[in-house]
Amino acid sequence: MKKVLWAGILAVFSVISCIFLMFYIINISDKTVDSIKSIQQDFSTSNFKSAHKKAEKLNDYWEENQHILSIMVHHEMLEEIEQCIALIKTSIDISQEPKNDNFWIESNKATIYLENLREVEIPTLGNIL
Amino acid sequence: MTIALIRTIILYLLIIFGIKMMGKRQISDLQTSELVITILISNIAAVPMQDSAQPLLSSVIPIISLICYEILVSFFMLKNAKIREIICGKPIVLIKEGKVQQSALKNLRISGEDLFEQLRQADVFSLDDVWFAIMETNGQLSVLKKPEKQPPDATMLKIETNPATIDTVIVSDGVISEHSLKVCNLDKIWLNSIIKDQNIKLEDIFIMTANKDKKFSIIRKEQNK
Repeated sequence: MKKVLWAGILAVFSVISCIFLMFYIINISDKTVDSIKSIQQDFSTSNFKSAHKKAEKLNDYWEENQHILSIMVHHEMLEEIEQCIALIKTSIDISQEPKNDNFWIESNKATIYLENLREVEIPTLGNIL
Repeated sequence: MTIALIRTIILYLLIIFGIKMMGKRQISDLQTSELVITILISNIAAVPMQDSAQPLLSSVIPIISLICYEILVSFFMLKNAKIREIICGKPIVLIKEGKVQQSALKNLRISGEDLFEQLRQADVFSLDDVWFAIMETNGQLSVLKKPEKQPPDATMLKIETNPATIDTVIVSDGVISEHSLKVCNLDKIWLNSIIKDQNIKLEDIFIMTANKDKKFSIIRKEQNK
């Protein structure tokens, strides 16, 4: 009976932790996408100083959360996002022109990866099947 | 490589813990669901051991969940026969009162050769000897021989027997097993008196067995040449 009770508690705990982790990943990816969009907005209006500041903040934010995310998400996926975020900052440093191709390529790549990370976590019928 | 080693140790401990939780059984005695769980766990555990980019949690959570569900399902099977029947199926009679049930064989897709093979494994070499043969839910065949073909037992021969006692190992390689002593209703005082009587040191005992009747046997350690 004790074993059954423990099994029940563990089963419930694993379900709750999975749901919590799903929302955690969705929350982090949403926040990161919002930050990237805000940087893109600043960059397109030639507000490079603000874009640079936000890119630095985004870099720090991602580094902080990547450690936790790596417990749940495939590490390769996170490394790709990390690279893109680092390149966003570097490309702002290198060229401060609204038509900076590198910036737009890397920021769009990061957005796609993050949206993919979010979509993969949501238990839709497509993902389950 | 260190990561792989640490992950292997963690998963090994988790699987040992899980198997202990599920209960001891031999592979041949596993029910269908238990066999499926065992295969699944071994496959799930193998992935993060080899691929360090794969999060350990993606393997730990499914393993814990599988073990928990297995324990819960076996609990519900114990409480409800219907659930047990759905998950494990039910025993099927293949030979009834000496007559082979051909429809049952067809349903289970067992050929005549397969049936004979299983009968031989149950020490039955002639179909005439079988009164009942039942295919159990774990895939083993239980055979009841015809009364005239069954070996006689003490009741049939009207022989009086004494209750059997089991010998247990109370000293192994010079180490006393207190649990075994308790099982035999013996204590260390009795053991020390025997050792003294036999003029032997505890360290020199390879194996000592005893039963509830205080009958014992001692095997001494071989002297190193």
